[in-house]
Amino acid sequence: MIACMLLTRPEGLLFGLLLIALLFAMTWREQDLRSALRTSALPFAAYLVTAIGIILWRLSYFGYPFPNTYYAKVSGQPY
Amino acid sequence: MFSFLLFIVLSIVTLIYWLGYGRPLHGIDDANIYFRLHGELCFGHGFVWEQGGEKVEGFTSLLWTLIGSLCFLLYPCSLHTSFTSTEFIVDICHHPPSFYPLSAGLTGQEHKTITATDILILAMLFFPLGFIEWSILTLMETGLWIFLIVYATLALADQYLGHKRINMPVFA
Repeated sequence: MIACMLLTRPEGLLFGLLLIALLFAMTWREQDLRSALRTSALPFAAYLVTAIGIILWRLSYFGYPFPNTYYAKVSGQPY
Repeated sequence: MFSFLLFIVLSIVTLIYWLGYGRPLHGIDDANIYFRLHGELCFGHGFVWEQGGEKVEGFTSLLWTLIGSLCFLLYPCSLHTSFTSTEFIVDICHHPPSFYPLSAGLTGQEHKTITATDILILAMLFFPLGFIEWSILTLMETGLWIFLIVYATLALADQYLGHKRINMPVFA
């Protein structure tokens, strides 16, 4: 799920992190810190591997690290 | 069973909406940009607008571009209707897995095929204008995005409420 989110839309980076944080907080509240770290490890690893993979792929294929939509929206050009 | 019923109902509702909009064979304009990129990728030209052209990231969703290219592989590109219907089905398929846990979690009546809550949820989704159009008829990645957000959030909610533990490999 988390990995697919990152591949589906750029906002997936934010939503994925938020969901992992919620999972971590829930597990910590119900159990303890060690369990929370252990539970969140796999989703977080998936998140990191996917995020780094996308950035490296984009850098090697298109020559820039962030999504094209990011540059389009922060370029400051009116069109 | 509920997922299957929902798939059938959603297919019928989509058909009604599709007929109501004059049987469009294209989604919105952005979907047609996707179509172009799907085709070029399917032909092995890479992420380009035209063969031999500059590499361009003309899409928001990498995953939807890959899924669309797979749809192109299933049908010859000239059969646009078949391609469009395949994308419709792909989009429709995203919804039942999202709403099944929502329904079961809310009602606590997993043993029943369909409950009053199911019908209420479906009515809330199907009747207001906008949902079917944006999540299916546009042929954009919206259906896929809704599925991922809803399913992941409900998995967390289920764990929080103590209904069932998250399947961590699926969640990741």
